[in-house]
Formats: sequence, C-alpha cells, structure tokens
Amino acid sequence: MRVTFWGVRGSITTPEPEYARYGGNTPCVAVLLADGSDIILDAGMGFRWMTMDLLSQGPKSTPVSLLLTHCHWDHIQGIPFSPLMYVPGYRVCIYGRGSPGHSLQENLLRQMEPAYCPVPNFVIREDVGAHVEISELGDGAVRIGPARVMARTLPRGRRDQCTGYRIEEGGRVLAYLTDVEYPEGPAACPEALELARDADLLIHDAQYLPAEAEARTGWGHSSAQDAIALAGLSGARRVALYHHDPARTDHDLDVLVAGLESAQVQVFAAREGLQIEL
Amino acid sequence: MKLRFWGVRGSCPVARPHVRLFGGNTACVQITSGGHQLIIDAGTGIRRLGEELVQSANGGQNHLSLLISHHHWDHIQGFPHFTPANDERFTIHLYSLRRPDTGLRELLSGQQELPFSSIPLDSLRSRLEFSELEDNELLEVGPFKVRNYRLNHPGITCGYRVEADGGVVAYICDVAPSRDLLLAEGLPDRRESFWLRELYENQLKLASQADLVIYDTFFTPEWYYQRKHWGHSTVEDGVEVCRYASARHLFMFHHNPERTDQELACLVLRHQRELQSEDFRLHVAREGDVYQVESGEVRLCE
Repeated sequence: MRVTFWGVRGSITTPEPEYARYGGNTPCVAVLLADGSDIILDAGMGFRWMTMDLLSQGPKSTPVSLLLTHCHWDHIQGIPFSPLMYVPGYRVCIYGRGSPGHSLQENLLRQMEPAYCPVPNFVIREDVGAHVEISELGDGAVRIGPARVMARTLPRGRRDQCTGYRIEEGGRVLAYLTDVEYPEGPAACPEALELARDADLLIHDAQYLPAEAEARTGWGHSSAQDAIALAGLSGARRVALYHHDPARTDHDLDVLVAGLESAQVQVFAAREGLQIEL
Repeated sequence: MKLRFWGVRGSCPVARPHVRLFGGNTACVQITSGGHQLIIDAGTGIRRLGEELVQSANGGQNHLSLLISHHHWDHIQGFPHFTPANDERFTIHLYSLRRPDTGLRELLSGQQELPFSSIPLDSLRSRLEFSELEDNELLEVGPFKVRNYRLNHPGITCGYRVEADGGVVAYICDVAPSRDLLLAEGLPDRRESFWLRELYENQLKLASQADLVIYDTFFTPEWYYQRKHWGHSTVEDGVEVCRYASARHLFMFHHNPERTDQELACLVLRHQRELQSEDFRLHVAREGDVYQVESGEVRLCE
C-alpha cells in the first residue's frame, strides 16, 4: 500500500509561511491499495486537495472509502469543500462513529445546515453528486478491496472517545491513531496496543510537548513521547508524528525531531506531500 | 483609522503554495482608531490577530467589537481559535444582523458543541456581549459609526459601512450582483425585481464616496455564469459599484481558493490598465497589509 500525507496539522488550517515545509492543512492521509482502491483517513482541509487530485486522474471503478476518527471540525471540514462530493458517478463510503444522542449521518448533516453552509445536500439527495453511504463501525472490522480494516474505540482523556484504525494488506500494516489521550499511559490501553501491534508504520497524534500535555490534560491529545512509548510496547517499526499543534512552526518541528534521535524506533514528523510505500 | 487584512480568502482556508503571496486565511479585517478595535468577520485570519491582541492587552478590561457579515463557515470558523475569547481580561461585543430563525450566539454556540469541538462557548473566560442588529441600523462604537445594509447572498448577509476620523471603509462581502438571481432570504414579501434593485441600491449606499471598498471578487465572469447561485461577484461588478458610488479605492477580496498568486497578480494588472482614466484605484487585498485611511487618502503602511 502507498501512504500519502495530505494534511498533518491539528485544530485549524495554518496557511502562514512558517508552516510551509510541514504543511498547514488539517488531517488527511490517503492510502492507495494494490487493486487501485482508495482509503482516506480523516477529512480535514487536506481532503479537498486529495480529492481534487483523485478527480484529475479520471473515473474510478472502485469506491472511495473515507474512515473518520471523530467529528471535530478539523477532521470533517474538508467534506463540503471537496469537489468529489458533487460529481455524479463516484461512490463514497464513509465509516466512523456517532456521538451520544446523534448518529454519524446526523452529525455530518449538521455541518451542512444552510445557516453555515449553503451547499446542495449530497448526503441525502440521490440526484446530487456522489453516491454516499454512511456506516458506523463500532469496534468492528470491514474488508475494503484487498485490505482488512479494524476499528477500535480509543480514549480522548477520561470523558471523550474517538476511533483508531489498523489497515492490513499483503502482510503490511498501517496503524492510524490520532486525537487520542491515554489517561493511564499507552501501556494501559489494550485497544491502542492491538491497533499498533507490529505495524510497519504508526501514524500517531503528537500535538503537545510533554509540558503542554500536562497543562492540557483532558483536551484529547498526545505527545511524541506517548507515540514512541506505544511503538516500543507494540513492536511498531516506524512512527510518524502527526496532528501538529497550530503553534508548532517548521523550525519547532525540526527541533522536536532532532531531540528524539535516541529513540529506539525510527521517528519522523509527518509532512504534507510525503509518500511512503509499505 | 488603520486597516489590516488578516484573512482575504473565500470559502475555505488554503494552505498550499499557490497562495503564499496573497494569503490563504479566510475573511478577517481589523480596523483601529485611537486604541479602539473593530474586527469584521472571524475567518481563520482571526487566530493570528487574537495572538497579537492578547500580547498587547493592558491590565484592565480590554474591549473589542466584532461584526459578523453572515454565518457561513468561512466567516466564523476562526472564532474557537480566537484566544481573547478565552481570556478574562477581554470583553467582546459581537454583532450581526437579526435573523428570524436563530441568532449569532446560538450559531457560535452550535459551532463549539460536541462532537465538533471540546470547548463549549459557555466555558470561555472572556465576557461575550451579543447584539442583534436591525436592517440599516446605525451602531456607534467608540469613534466608529457603523451602518449595515442587506446584501444579495444565500441566507442572511449584510455589508458594513464604517466611518471614523473623517474616513470611510465599506465592507461588501459576500455579495452577488443584482442582475440575475435573488439569493437573499427572509426578506418581506415583494417582487423579486424590487428586491434586486433595493439590494443593488444597498451596495451603492455602502460604497458611496467611500475611501476604501472591500469587495467580493471571487468570480471571473466565466465562473459567474456557471455558478450564479453561489452568490459572489467579479472585479467588473466591483468596478461598476465604485464608479456609480464615487468611491476612491477598490480592494479585491474573498479570493477564490483555486486562484493562484500569479493569476491574481495578472488579473489586477489587466484591470488596472483598463481603469487608468477612472477616478478610483484598484488593489488586491493581501494578508498582512496595513493601510492608513483618512478622508480622500488611502496609504499602504510599511
């Protein structure tokens, strides 16, 4: 499988020049499978540019599968601004989680309420754009083309939750855990260990520096140290630090990564445009 | 008064190399006069403005006024990241046009609800004072006299005319021309042609003898005819309004996310050549640029 980073920034898009090298788009990672199927992880603003690229390659016979970790804006805000949603002939399968009292479909529709976003409703109208199917995976698994995708519920501190994913294809494994905060550390989170076990690449939230993480307990994010600890415990071989804080400039990220040279696993900061063949 | 562009892009923020020169943040404009702060719209550009306001805050209560033109994402999405809103030293006075179905507080609160955000509006530490404006109401805030006028754009949208220190700034965004389609909603029951004329008159009232007009130039004419119902205008539309309204400086604003720096630079040059005999000047709004606005004079500050 081929992994491409289209958005690596957390919370809000940062177009300013000091973020130009690592990138300012909110989360989106594309996974191209051996049969040409596309899996897309999260739909931040990177989703707009990813899907424009996808459309430029001409029609697809396989569906586009979008896996959402949760419904914070920075993970869904690209959907109404993606031209893919407005082109007939495409099939878009969206997987994710609901929230207390609301289904995933209801939450995605709330983003498109006319007061906020006057777009034609491609979710419920069959005559508009792509054919959209929405499913909630829970702690389940689904087959997408030649890949097996496993979903697990992860903690965002003690009160909130999100979904993490593990994608297996042809003996290769990608684990995607973002917007996760381990109240008792990653060792006490069997779901995270299960998702990351022997992964070839672990993409993991590293929004905070350790000092910031302490001051922002309960905000639902991790540090590079959490990501490296999980890799050590689960046997993951490479770690991509992901969901960079909007305050973290290119220079800050260079410094952060340089300080992790003694880590027992290979660690790098995810950068927009980076492509990795697993 | 001084005016600074913090966000000039329309629809969605763009963090891509093709917009590095003119900027990728969504709509936000700051106007200052005698230490008073007036902000128009809360697109992603407001994040950086907030950092600057927090750094320069004084020990007492710091008052800010925030005018929202309408409630589409690209005009409010920066608010959850506006740090003064979560700082007890600030009082923020928020204004937008009254609407029959809901209000600014409800819409900003909806933006910060679970599962979309973890920080509810009610938990913010600043004082938020909400006011709903009536159509054409005159609002006086410190040295600023502000009047709103309804515009032709899907939903409920107004433009603002800001007068201070003898200068006039008009903010006309988002707006569609009045030639084809009535897109504004919630207007009293009259013929479509009546409202189209009325809403065009509103643009002229906003821009009348203004020193600086900020105008929605999202479309090229070709794009406009393909996507009329999106509710945006072209440079040609802005030129016509400034000509009839005897305005002095027209600023292209709310740039299309796909419009590259090069295209924008060529577009403005081409129009500037055509407009040499006119009494007003054409510019492109660029993120970070600061202008001094006085009666009859608009000057780019270094």
